Amino acid sequence: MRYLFHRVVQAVVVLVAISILSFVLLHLAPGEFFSEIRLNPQISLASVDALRAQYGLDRSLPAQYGLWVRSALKGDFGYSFAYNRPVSSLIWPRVRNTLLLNTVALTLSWLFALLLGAWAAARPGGWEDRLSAVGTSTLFVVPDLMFALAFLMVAVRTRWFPAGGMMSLDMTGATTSSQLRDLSAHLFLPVLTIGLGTFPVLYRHVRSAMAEALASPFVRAARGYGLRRNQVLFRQALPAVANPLISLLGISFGLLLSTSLLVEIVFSWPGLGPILLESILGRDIYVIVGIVIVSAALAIIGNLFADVLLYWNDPRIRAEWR
Amino acid sequence: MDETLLQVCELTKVYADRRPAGRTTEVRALREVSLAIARGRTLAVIGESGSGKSTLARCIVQLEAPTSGQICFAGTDLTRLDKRRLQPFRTRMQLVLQGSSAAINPGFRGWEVVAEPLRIQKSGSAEEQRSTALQCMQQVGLQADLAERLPHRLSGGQLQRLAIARALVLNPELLVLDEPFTGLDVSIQAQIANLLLALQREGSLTYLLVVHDLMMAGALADEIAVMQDGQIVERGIPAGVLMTPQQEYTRSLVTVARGVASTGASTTGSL
Amino acid sequence: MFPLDLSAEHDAFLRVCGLTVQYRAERGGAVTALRDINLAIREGEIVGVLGESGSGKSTLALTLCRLLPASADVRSGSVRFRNLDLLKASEREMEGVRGAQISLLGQDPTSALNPVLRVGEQVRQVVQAHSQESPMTSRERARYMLQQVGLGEARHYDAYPHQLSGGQKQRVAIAQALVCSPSFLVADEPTSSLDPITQAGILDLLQRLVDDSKTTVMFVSHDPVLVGRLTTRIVVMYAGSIVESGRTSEVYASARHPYTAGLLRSRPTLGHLGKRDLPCIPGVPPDLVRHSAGCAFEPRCERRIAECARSDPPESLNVAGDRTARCFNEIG
Repeated sequence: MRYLFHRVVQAVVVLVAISILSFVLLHLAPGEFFSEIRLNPQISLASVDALRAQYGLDRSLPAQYGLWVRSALKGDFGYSFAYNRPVSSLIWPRVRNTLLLNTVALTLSWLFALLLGAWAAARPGGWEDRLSAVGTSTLFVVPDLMFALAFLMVAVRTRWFPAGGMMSLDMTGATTSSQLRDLSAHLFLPVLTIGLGTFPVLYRHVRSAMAEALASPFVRAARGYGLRRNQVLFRQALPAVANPLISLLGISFGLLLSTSLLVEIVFSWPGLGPILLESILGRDIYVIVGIVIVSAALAIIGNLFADVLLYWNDPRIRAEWR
Repeated sequence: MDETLLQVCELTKVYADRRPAGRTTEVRALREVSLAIARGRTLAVIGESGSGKSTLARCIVQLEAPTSGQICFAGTDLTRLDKRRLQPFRTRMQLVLQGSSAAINPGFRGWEVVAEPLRIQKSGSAEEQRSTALQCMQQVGLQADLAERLPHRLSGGQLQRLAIARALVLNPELLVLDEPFTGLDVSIQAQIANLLLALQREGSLTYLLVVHDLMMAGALADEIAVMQDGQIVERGIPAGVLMTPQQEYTRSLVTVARGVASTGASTTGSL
Repeated sequence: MFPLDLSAEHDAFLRVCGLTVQYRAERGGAVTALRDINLAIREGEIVGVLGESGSGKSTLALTLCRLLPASADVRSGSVRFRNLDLLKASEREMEGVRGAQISLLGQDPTSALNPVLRVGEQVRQVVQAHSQESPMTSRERARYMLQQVGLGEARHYDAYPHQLSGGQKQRVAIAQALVCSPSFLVADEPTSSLDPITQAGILDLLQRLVDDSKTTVMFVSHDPVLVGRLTTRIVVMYAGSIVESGRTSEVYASARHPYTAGLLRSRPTLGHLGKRDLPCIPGVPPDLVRHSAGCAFEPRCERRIAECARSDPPESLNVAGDRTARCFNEIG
């Protein structure tokens, strides 16, 4: 428990530091939301200044930060100029959508990586191993964007899958099961794209970790006592490799946002991706800060989750903290 | 020559085991250890793992700083010297570790391993360093053709000899050997033992020998000190310690070593 | 234990004939680890295999359990355990044999235990591998075995390897090896990484367990003192061949092969106090890649004669009783 407390405190500190950092960096970047309006000859400078004052943009940097913190504590996390809403209400539903997409993709990716990786590691040098190695290397090299566009094209041409979005227009009020079916149909291609992007790396790690475990002295000893191959694989090797794999899980969680960003944009998935792009182009700074914080928080939570799993799985780490 | 080369007084070493979450436990590795070795003699320190014997060895060669106590080498108290004045003393005593863990750079060839201390001390030209290294290798019985070999192609015994050669290259007066026989075949152990005896005779080297093999200590030492839990619990000449041990712990060590050793000479197979 | 005595065929518990094993060396070429080994072990015996690095003793131990690494080739020979030809058995059959009939006890207890599983569980998995028992029963058997090796308290069953000392870990390994009551135990240097007092404790334990269960044991070691203590018969190996064999007491009292004699003499005893040179065998064991004609020990042998360099001494010279020695100029 002491462990958890430490980590939570650490997490808060990191988030605060990130908020300050992103704040400062954004303000250092040239231009702001109102730059374009300023160029419009029909609006007087006085009105622009009044708008700026309303949003506190004429104040000093620390003062602006102070305002933002107050807003954050209130739950708003700042204000979006473009949408005219508090940031939190804007991004919250999108966070959910991004999480949905990414969790599904990650789970499936991991599942396949674990199964295939274990299978290949148990037969080192065999045709399965070599074929998988070549296959995953190829996947690794192909950029995500290419997959995304290719699948989009497939969707448009064949109409087997919806060409984007999260929900069909006629679904409100339909039964849960048909809503789920519809959701799955929409999820399929984006999940496949993200999956194909993350799978090669995961597979590589699983395979090498398993291969290492299978070559370790305690597995040899277990075989020496007559344990069958499957027993060895699942009851001995897998628990032993859990450590590095759990750490990898934490990291992949953190990479969530950047991975899905592109895919969400291509498939018009209503997640954080499209709105982040929009806000960057439009310099809707508080939205950007909000999204940065969210992704940092996701990374931290992912790592925390992994650390807790690690603590639970490895008795040596538990001993250290006793 | 009965001059005392090394004298250790009340040496204490306490480790703070700093755990995460700020809890620190103390480990007393050495508790007021005192000993003395005369020039040209061998003192064997016996102990099991955890007795502190390796810590003692590391403190004496200045690899670790003791928590308190004095280490006098040829009359000078090393614990009172600053880094600069300590420098000349460092070359007068050398540490020999177990061959397989002697931190031998796997990328260095045989002679380069031996010449490394010379390179670090920047003494002599590259040519001179190489010839000194080759000389030392010869002294420890390594044939010239092993000079170009990489460590992973050397046997356990050869690696141990290499570690000894490396220690000799700076012409030390004191050699501290930490478990030089562990992991070696029995016949090779005998060879290394004889090598050490020969080197001592030729160069009047002084040895501090840290081992857990009681019989080997008895064969090589002028004096034996038995360590347990960071303290010296018994000391004396080999005949005394091995044949008439005074302390309980020493007795049990001797019984084990003798009970097992005497079977080699007598003949019962299954007891 | 008599390689050529065919009348003892029906007695043989384990019979090794003409076994030659090579390892593929990294530079192409092969290291001959075992050369034409002939060995027969009777049920109930405690046989010692004495040899130093490169003698092939560990390879022999691994071959008997069919646990050789992929780089090893069994060039020729057979290993018959009871009625089973171990070298020809399928992997499935071997999985049934290992642990239940032939168990291997290795030398490094620290790395032989899975660090993330409790030790009790690791013993239980061995039970589970060989029987269809319920988890409860297998747990009980595991617990009982741990008690037999001196780790009977509840906290021992639930302990993780890192919470145990070296000696305790080796006890767990012994529990794993013996829990299914194998009839043959191959112990490969089981105490070499332990310090003397712990070593003595482990040997005492092994002795007791083996006596109680009448398990046949092959005890492999490089330490003549340990082998002398535990075994009734002994086989001495050098450079992949058996150079001497016989009853331990007799071999130790008067070794016939110069290597055995040299080895036994080089161990320091109470008679060696006083900083005198230890008697030792000069030189180093041969390179196993190149095999020249003649006896492998010849370059280091003080009793060598002209014949020794020309040809390999024959398989085993029939010496009185059941002593054998592979030497043209044996002692005595």
